Amino acid sequence: MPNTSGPVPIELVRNFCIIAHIDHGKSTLADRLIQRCGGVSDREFRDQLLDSMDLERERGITIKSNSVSLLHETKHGETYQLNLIDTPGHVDFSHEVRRSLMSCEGALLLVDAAQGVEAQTVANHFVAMEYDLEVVPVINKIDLPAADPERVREEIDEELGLDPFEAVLASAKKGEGIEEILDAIVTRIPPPGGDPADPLRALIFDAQYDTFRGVVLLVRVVDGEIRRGDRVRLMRGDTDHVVEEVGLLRLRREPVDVLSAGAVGYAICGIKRIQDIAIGDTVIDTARPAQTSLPGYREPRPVVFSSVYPISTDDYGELENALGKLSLNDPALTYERETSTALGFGFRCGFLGLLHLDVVQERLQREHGLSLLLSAPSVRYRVSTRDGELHEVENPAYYPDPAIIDGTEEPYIRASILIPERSVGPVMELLTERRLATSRMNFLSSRRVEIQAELPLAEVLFDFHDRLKTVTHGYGSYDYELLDYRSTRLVKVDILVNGERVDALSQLVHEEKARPRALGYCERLAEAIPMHNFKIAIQGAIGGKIIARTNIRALRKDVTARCYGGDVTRKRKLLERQKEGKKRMKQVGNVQIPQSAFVAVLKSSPAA
Amino acid sequence: MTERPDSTSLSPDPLTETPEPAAPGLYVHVPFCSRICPYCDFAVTPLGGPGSERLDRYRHALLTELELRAAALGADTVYFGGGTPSLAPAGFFREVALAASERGLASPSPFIFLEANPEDLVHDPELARQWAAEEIWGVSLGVQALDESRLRFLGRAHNASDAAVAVSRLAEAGIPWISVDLIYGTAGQTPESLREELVAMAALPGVNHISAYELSIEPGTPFGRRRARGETLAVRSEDGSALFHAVHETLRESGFAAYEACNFATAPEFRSRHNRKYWSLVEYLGVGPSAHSFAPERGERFWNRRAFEHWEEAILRGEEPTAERETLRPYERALEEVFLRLRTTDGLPLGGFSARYGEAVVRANRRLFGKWRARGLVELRGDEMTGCLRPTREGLAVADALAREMNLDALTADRDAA
Repeated sequence: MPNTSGPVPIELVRNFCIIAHIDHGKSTLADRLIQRCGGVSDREFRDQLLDSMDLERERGITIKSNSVSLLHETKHGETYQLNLIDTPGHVDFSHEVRRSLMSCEGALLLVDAAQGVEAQTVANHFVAMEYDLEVVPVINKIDLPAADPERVREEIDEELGLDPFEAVLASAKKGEGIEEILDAIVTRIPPPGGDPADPLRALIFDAQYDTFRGVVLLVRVVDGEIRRGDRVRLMRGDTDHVVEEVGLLRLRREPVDVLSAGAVGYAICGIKRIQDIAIGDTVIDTARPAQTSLPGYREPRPVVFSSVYPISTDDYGELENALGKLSLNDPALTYERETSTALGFGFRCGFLGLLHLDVVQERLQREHGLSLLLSAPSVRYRVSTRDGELHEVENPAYYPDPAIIDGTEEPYIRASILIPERSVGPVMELLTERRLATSRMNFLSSRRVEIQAELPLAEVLFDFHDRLKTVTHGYGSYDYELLDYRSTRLVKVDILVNGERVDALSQLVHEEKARPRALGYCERLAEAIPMHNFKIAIQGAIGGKIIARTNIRALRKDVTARCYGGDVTRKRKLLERQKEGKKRMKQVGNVQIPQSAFVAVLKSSPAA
Repeated sequence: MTERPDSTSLSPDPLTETPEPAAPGLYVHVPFCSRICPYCDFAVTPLGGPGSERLDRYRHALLTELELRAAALGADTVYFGGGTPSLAPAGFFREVALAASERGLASPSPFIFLEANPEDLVHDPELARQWAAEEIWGVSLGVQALDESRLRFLGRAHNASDAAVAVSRLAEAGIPWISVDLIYGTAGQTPESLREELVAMAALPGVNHISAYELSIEPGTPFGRRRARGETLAVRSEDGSALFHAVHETLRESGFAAYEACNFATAPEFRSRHNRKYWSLVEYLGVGPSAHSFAPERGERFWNRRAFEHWEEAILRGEEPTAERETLRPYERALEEVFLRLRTTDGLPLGGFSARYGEAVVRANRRLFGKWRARGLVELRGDEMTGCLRPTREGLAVADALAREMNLDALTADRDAA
């Protein structure tokens, strides 16, 4: 085990991250590096240690980044400090990825030896190049029967423009190639620059919340030094603090006297609420304030919205608490109170993307034991009205009267889609169905094509990923970035049950999609609402115009057989239970709609 | 003996009024069958044949139970249900009725009814005449079907011609009330094939009452186990509703008017004198294993131990064989009154209802009643507060749904507090 005493000189520090497509083995590689560097005893070791949340562990994705300092002794007896900055692995968190990359000098670009280069690999590589990082390609999972390292080398050459012979072959799972990777980190990634004598500038690339210590800032010191007792200022927040503790991110926090230019570590400054800081902000010294901030801050902008209701109205308070707690560690999550006549009290929540939405929903359910109902996800539209005002609308409830609307715009994305050449036809068909605006095709190799497509964000919110996987037989992948707002023809579709609008089911959709979407809702609702003793009409409407309709036939028999030998009690108890069940249903007009009907309609994503 | 009236003189109006039964009833459960039908979940045990030792033990315990429960009940109907009462010797019924009269439980000459299996009447050509000699008023025959394959499916021991023979023997013997039971809704049954069976059943000379029930598959029965294994034994519920309406239409055309969701009679006087007591919340005492009782003055329902041995054991210890009792709270009683009365064409008299549970309850449901009327589910005789809500056929078909829709919240405060 390397000597841990005394600071490691800056020329022996390496700051790096691992970038990879989901499931290409990033967390497993991180675990192996941590194990090899003695960062954790076997007893402490748990598989995929960096993914600390159960949810991340289960889904095999990293949502909240963790970082760790490793000590690595080379063959020549030098001890290097390797700061592994973890990065989240999904498109929703692309800005977090960027912030992580900003704190590094190099990146391990992990490619699955069987899957090869995927859309996200390309996207990540471009970002790494943007920040001038030294990229070390690693071909992982070479132990798999389907591994084809030679083909992957070709892809690395043709699709990423990297030297394929610099790629390290590894199997993180079996611990193969780890030594070579550590060598490459030491020899190919440059030491951090920066002058410890300059005024302090440190980038807050992440933060954690500690129940006892408050906010723990994870920082990359770019210039100068930060030490205990310093008075510091958060530039963007314009707040001053006294540094209580600085240290290294070993598996447990390890206090040190000073973090100098180039170092990655943590700082505790007596900040109580995570809302009081901004990830990406710059820390400076109040005594010797640097004049310019580091690039890196961007307001987290939710792009996907959904209304979240507790299944049991009694859980409203608990939901509010839970959202408060989650947002402590997740500043990108926004929420505000909302009321629905059908569903009662809930919250309109904003998310970075669909995965973010899924993750929040699952954490609310799993960690807080809540049963929830989520409305169909929506994007944020821009609506200009006749009076010259511009409204941002993500909630159908606030959609202005169409009579006063001048124009509407919706967000577009540029999707980068990597597919086998033979899937071009079906993928173009899928894209056309999704209101494709423009597309460009790059033939990357003899077998693979990249489609650059511009299309509305709203069109990838519903089952786009699943459909892409289906039409490409599992070989397609995509990534996207937000592009701009473009003019659109938006309508608000209402769902009526016997003429009464069910507010929780209203949605904003493109004119072309209104009819199929409305019909899909009507049909699912018709299946889920039990028969009544009268006919129920379920309609989709735009304003006063009916665009879809289904009926639930009237119940023509609802009377049980005889009361056996005068046994009235059994029958009465059954009716009592049924009457109780009715009370828990939502009443819309004269129709009783069970919660399960809302769940059935809302949870299955409309394919239309 | 009462002549069966000429069907042309029948009023087809299902709403024909008859005075409600007022005197209490006595139900006697005979827990024996020679074989157990696969759909049955009554309290029954197989019995080798009449005269066996278990039957003697039963008779002894039953007469003792009548002693234990002696009270001034004065029932004017004594109904032997089962099980298979027709397995008992012909003299058994009058003996029990007399014993009940002696204990004050029955009037001196009550109407005696019994349930019978057709094959028992076929095997013993004298049986019907013996019953008539014992002044049995009515016999309810477990015909269940006239289609041979349906009879086999239902595990019945008789065939269609046995059923016809049994009915004719009862009629020839002069039994005044002859009822046949039918179970419909077995898998594959269509409204057309059901109509054929019903027409044939209604045409059996002497039949003046028909009970037609949809097959319900109960857990714990052979059918329940077969369904659990994935077998389809009954029609889907939508088809069941078509069959329900086919039953009502066909029987009406055949001269049988519905007076309850599942019961039909050729004339008001042939409505079941005993079963109507269940639907109109009249007092009744049940004796024998698993029998249920209702004591409206105490607002109490209670029922006997279900297993023969447990029932017998309590009696031999000199105790009433009651298994459980419940005292109905106003909400429960009102709910019972709603769902039971709305099963019958006599309907729900609102005046009495509001006298018992308060005007507020009726007022709270006035709009609902209006909707029911608008949908043709009920008719209102009289005014909104004191009239009588009478279900139409469409209403009878959804009586349970109507009971669920009733707003009885004004009565739930005491229930929630309890």
